[in-house]
Amino acid sequence: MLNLEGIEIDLEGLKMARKEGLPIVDWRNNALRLFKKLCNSGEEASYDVAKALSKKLAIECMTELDSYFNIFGFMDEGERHKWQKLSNQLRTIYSS
Amino acid sequence: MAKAVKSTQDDLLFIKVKAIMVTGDNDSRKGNIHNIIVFPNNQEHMVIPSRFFNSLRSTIERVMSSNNIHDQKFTIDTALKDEDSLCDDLSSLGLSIAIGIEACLNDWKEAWENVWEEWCFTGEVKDSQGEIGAIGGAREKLESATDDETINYIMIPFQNRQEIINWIDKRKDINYEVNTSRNISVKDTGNSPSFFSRIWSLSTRNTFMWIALILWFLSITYTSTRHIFWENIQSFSNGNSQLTINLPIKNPERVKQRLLKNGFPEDRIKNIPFSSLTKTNQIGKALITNRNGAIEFEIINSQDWTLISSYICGGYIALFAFILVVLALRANKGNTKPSTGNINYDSLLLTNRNKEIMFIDNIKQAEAIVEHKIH
Repeated sequence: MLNLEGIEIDLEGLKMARKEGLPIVDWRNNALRLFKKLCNSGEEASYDVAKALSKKLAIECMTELDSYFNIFGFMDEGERHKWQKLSNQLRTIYSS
Repeated sequence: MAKAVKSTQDDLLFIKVKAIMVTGDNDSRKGNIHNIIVFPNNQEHMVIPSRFFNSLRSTIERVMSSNNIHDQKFTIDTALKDEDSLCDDLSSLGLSIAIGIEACLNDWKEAWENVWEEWCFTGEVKDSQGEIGAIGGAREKLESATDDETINYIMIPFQNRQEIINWIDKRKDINYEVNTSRNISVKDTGNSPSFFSRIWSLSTRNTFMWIALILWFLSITYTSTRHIFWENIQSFSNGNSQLTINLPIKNPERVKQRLLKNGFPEDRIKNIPFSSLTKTNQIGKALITNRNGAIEFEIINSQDWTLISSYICGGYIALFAFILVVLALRANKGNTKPSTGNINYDSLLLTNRNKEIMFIDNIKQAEAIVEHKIH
């Protein structure tokens, strides 16, 4: 079941964390929660959730997560690889 | 399961504009066409990837200033990936960003949606007046644009014109005609903001200006209170047995009335030398006290800081208003739309490629040409 409402809440939380300069832990938790939801990740990411986003939601998720990874970097190569796939997916949505 | 994204009217908010960047080193340099996205977000300027934000910050601010827009914000996706290594900076994206922002703000975004693939831009926005300056790698950029079959119109800075003509002359496979001073008629849409809305935009453009504006209103409140209601306020604080007056006295009759109202004996009031107090050189405050019928007169402060403060506030009121008016007038000057029939531009028609290369030197000219062509 697609939970767009949950994604919107996480996105707003992430925006707030960035703008208000919340502690790094809170920022990271917000970002990773959104990231995992969009990747629909267990061991194998499916990106089905990301594919169902509206254009507006897609570009906003792209912007916030891109800012996050630009500042904090990736935990490992797996996370980097997932982000590359997810960002391609998001970009495809709002560029179409 | 994934579901297809339905297209909505909101899709028109995602303006696509083609730009050209150069990648590679020396002999391997080549131009790449990027479909950049301009999206109004109403919160803050953002760039994707965000590591390029600092490179584009001044370009975005110049575009906004040249359009005299300060309250709208945009997300700009450069279509670059983090791993992309460019051999030129991002400044040449300026013209594409300017066209994207103009499409967002104008009523031609629907028409633009149908033709954007035919257009390609490159040019650096040099200043807040929207001047377009020369770019590096013009030949590589033009080569990639002329090879792209979807592109019919290529817009390039006028300063690169001779370089481009020299390059095309060497290309035996391209035939061209030169059109000098093409003239298009442009209707004045009358969208330029009014003088007062420009003043409001300027005075609320950032936190510093907001603080200055609030101080300006507080200064007006304080200065008018100090000069109109001050005597009444002093009376409230002193009670009935005392009255504070400002020296020199401007209106003796009014002071007499206030003394009578506060219960000072009339026969004693007559003994106060009001005529001298109106001509005295003494500046400050005097305290008149009624001690059981005996009147005491005491100068309590030779420096009236409330008065000095009101002069300072008055100066600030005048200075802030003057600066705002001057800035608004200057913004109007820079924002003047070219009037009907005044847009000239040089172009090259690539006759065997079905493409037109247009040379421009400012944002307004570029926008007018695009608007003219798509309608």
